[in-house]
Amino acid sequence: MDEAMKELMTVFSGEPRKINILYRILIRTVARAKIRFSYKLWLFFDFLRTIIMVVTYYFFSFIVTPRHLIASGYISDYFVFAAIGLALGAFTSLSLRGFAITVFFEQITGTIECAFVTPSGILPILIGDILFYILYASTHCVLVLGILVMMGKITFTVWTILSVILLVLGLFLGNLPLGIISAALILKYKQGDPISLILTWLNYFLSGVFYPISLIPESIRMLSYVFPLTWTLHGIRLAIMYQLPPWHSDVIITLGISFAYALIGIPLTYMFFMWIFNKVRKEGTLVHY
Amino acid sequence: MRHDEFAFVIYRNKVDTKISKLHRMAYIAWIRLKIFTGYRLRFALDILGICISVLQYLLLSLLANPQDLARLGYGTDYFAFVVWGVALARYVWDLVGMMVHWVWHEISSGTFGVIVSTTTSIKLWLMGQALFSTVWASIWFMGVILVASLVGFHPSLSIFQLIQTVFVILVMIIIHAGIGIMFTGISIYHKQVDVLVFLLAGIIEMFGGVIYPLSLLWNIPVLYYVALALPFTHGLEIIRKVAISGYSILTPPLLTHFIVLLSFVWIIPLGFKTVDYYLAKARRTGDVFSY
Repeated sequence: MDEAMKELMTVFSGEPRKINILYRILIRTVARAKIRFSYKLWLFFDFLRTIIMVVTYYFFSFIVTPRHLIASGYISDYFVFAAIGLALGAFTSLSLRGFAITVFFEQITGTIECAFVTPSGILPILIGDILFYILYASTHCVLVLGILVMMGKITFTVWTILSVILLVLGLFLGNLPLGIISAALILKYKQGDPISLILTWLNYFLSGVFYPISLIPESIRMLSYVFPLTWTLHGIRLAIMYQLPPWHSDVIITLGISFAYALIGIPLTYMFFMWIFNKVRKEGTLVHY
Repeated sequence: MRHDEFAFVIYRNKVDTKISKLHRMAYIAWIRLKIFTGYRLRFALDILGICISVLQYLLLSLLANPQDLARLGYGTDYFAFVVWGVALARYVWDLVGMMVHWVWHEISSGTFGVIVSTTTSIKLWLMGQALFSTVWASIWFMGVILVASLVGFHPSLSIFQLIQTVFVILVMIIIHAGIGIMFTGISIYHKQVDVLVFLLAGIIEMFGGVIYPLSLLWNIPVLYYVALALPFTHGLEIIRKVAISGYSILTPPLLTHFIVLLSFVWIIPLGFKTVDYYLAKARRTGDVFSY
C-alpha cells in the first residue's frame, strides 16, 4: 500500500479520530484530480476542443455585423463576446454536471452506499468533487481569457480580476441548485445525466452564450431570465469589456441576483435532494443502476 | 421468422449455413437498429438536441452579415449556409461515432470475441455496422433539415441539383464510413478511441468550414491547407455551391473539389487493412476478449 492510499484510508476509515472536515474535502479533491489527470490523452483533447471552439468562433467573427452587439450594450468585437460566452458556458456545464457526475459515478460503480456509511458521510465527498470540478472548469476559463489577453483583445486590471472572480463564484453558486436537482433525478431515475445535458443545452440556447439575448423572440425570452447564467454572463461581459471594478453597480446587481438564486435555490433543492434520497433508501434502490 | 431467430441463424457456427452476404449484412444492420430504437429516452434527447441546435444557429444567423457572405460566394442566406454545414457535420459525426461506439460496446461487454469466431466474417459484420450507422445518421441528417425547414430554411433545389447533392453526400458518406472502419479497427486493439472521434469532430468543425466560409482561411495558408486535407471540406464546399448558389458540379472549381474528394476513396481499403492488422495483433496478444 503506497503512502497516498494509506492517507486516504486514514481519512475514510471507521476508526475514531479527529480530522478536520476541510482536510477531508481537500483529500477528496486531490483524489478526484489524480483520477482525472491519469487520463492524460483525454485531458489533452478536452483542452484542445476548447481551443478549437475558440478558433472556430474567431473565424466566424469575420462575417458578423456588430449592430446587435452594440445595441445590447457590448463592444463591437464579436470574438470577445463569443469567447467570454464559451469560457463561461464551459464553466457552467462542467460545474453543473460535476455534482451530477459524482452521484452518477458512485452509483454505477456501486460505491454510493459505502460513501454514505463512512464516518465522513457523503458531504465531504460531494463537496470535494465539486471543488475539483470548479477548479477544472476554471482552468478552461483561464485558458480562453488568456487567449484573448495574448491576442490583445482585452486587458485586465487588478479590480477587474477581482470582479470576475466574484462573479464566477456567484455563477457557480447560482447554478448549484440546478446541479443538485440533476443529481437528485439521477438518484431517482438512474439515467446517466440527461437532466444536466438538457440544462446545459438550454443554458447555451437561452442564456446568450453565442448571441445577445435581445435576438431571442420575446415570447421565449422570459425563459432566459430563469437561468442564472443569463444574468452572470451579461455582468461578466460588461466587467471584462469595460474593466469594471467590484463596486460598479452592474457588478453589484449581477452578484446580488446570483446570490439570491443561491440563497433561495440551495436550501430548497437540498431539501428536494434529501427527499428523493430518503425515498430511494426506503425503496432500497439506492445502489441499483 | 422472428428477428432473434434470424440472428441466431446468421451467427451460428454451422458451416453449411447458406445465407447471402448481402442478406447477412442487412440483418446485422436491422438487429442493431432494433436495439437502438429501444432506447426511447436517448431518442427523445436526440430530437430535443436537434431542435435546440437548429434554433441556436437560426439566432446566430441573425448576427451574420449577408453582404460579407455573398462577397465570399455563398449567397446572402447564412442560415442556409450553416444548416448544410451543421447537418453534414452531424451526419459524419453520427456515422463515425456510432460505428466506433458499437465495436467498443461489443468489446467492453466481452462479446466481440464471440462475433469474431462466428462464420460471418468480421468484414461483413463491420459493413453491417456501417450500413446501420449510415441509416441512423441519415435519419438525423434528415431531422436537422426538417427542423430547419420548419423555422425558415427553404432549400429550393431543382431535380438536377438534388441528384448532384445526393450523389456528393453518398460519396462523402462512403469515404467517412471508411474512416469509421479504420477507427473501429484501431479500437479492437487500443480499445478507447473516443478521443480520436472527438478529435475528428473538432477538426471538421474547425477546419471544415461548418459555421464560417472556408475562404476566410486564405489569410492563414497553413490552416487552409490543413482544411484541404480533409474530405469533408471538399464535400461540404460542393454541396453548398450546388444547393445554395446553384452551380453545377461540372464547373471547374467544383469538379476539382470532386476529384479531390474521390481521391480519398483509398481510405476504404485502408480501413479494412487496419481492421485485419489490429485483429491479427489482438489475436496474437490475446486481447480480443480483454478490455
